[in-house]
Amino acid sequence: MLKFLIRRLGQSLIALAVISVLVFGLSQLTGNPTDALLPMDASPEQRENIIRHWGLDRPLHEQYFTFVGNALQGDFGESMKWRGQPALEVVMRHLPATLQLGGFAVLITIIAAIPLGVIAARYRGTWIDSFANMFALLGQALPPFWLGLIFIWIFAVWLGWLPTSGYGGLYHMILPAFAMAWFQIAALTRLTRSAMIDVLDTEYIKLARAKGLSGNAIVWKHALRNASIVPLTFFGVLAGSILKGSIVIETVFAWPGTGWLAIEAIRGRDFPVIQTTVLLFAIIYLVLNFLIDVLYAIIDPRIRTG
Amino acid sequence: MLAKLKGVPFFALAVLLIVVVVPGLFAELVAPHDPFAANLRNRMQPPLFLGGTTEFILGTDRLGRDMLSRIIYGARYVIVISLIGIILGAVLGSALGLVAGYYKGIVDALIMRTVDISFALPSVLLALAFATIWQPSFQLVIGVVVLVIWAFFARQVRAEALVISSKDYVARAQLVGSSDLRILTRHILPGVVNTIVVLATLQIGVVIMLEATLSFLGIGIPRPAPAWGLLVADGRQLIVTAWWISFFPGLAILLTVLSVNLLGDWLRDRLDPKRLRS
Repeated sequence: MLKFLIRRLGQSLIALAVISVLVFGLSQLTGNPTDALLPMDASPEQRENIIRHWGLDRPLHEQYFTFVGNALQGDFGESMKWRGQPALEVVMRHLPATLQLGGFAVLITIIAAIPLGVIAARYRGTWIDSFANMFALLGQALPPFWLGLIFIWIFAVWLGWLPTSGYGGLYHMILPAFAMAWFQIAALTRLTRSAMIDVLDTEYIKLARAKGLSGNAIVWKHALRNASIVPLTFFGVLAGSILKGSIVIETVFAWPGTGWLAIEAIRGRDFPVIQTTVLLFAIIYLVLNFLIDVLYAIIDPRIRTG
Repeated sequence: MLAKLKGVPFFALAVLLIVVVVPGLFAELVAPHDPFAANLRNRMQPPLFLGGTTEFILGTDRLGRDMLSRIIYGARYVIVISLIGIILGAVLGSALGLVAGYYKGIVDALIMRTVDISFALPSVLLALAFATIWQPSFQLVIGVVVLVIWAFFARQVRAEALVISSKDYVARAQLVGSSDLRILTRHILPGVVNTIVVLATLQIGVVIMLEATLSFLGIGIPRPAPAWGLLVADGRQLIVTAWWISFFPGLAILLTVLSVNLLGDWLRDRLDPKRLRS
């Protein structure tokens, strides 16, 4: 197990190193980094300061290590749009809103998709199964940004039940969270269904039936527990999609999270903030996938040696 | 003959033909208006079934441009982006997958780690980073598409190339002195062609969605091109007064992706019933 942990951690760290090189490389490609880091009307001293601070007069590999060193201390430079504020601070200030919305979306996904998948598997071949299947197909083809607009039009404009956009409590979160969760529900339903079908065909389920256990007890207690390993891997993908989805959905609903921030930063050509967001998202993604793989290895010992 | 046609998703094919292929290929012939011709006197006309005129069946936008014509011209971007993006991504990914699966060892490890990293990079974020450096452009969208999809091809093709390269006929080919290139293209590639075709079909939906998302966010196809994602974005601020501006382009995306996915599922079951189930 320890060997597995070390190897898996090593992989994540290498991936992170490569991503940091990419992010660093991007800052090189923007042309003269001082232009990107400084306002248009910067004084020569400011320019001088930046060059010394980032070590821009040194060879490239040294510059990279300076970049990593600064990044490790949480120093990504100053935001250009939000003058005088460190980029990391700006990004971190918007992170809670993203986690709030993302967490709510994950909750909706699990609550909706797992029962739907289990029921579809249990009543395989019936109209319930076809309905779940159609729902899944439709869910994967709906553009989330468009779905968000349709939600706004139906529930906020037409029916007037919920606010159109903006930051706030549960009321404000319902529409964006559902728009974000829709695609995930579709994917997780399909996955749960096929995992359940595989498990329901195994010997010990047949044995449980032979012993006279009721259908519900078998499906929800015995089969679901074993089938749950498959959807577990999905949560790594889910986390990534939620991060990605946050950019789109937060923009549509003017929800002031990191995704919304990223688009605002692009419009303002606020490079330090974008750099920080890209790195932060990559780290969240890598950490989550690492944890999921570890969890997976705990549940299924065969993985550890594989 | 009829038995052969059973299960073919005709509905999906028909939808694709009507929504994408015919409009995309013959936009000049089918579109009733110039998609760029603005006429403020006709601005925000409702679609026909909401009291509009037959002149603008799907209504007009904020500048009085005909929505139907704009959607029709937008189909071109769907075709071109998915065709070029998929072909480049499939060729690059499959080639790397073949090499990784055939040579194994350090080459394999190197390529597969790159695949892992590629999966770890959220695609929209990647596009975001690019868009800060270069102005959004057609080429940039293609670049992002290729960077996102190559890894799917590499991973799947590598897994199958690994199996095939341990077969006897490959060993025999090596014994008689066939070059690596010959073995890869003549002996291993034919065995993975089905997989590549199925995967390519299944990825079309992903590519269309990605392009639409990027365009919607303003980091994809640049204006004034009538790409569908841009058309949806155009109507965003007008959702209260003129919902049709966003609605119909989005519906076109939905129908296209749905049909392509149905087609992909069918092709997968046809060509490869065992593998690629996910």
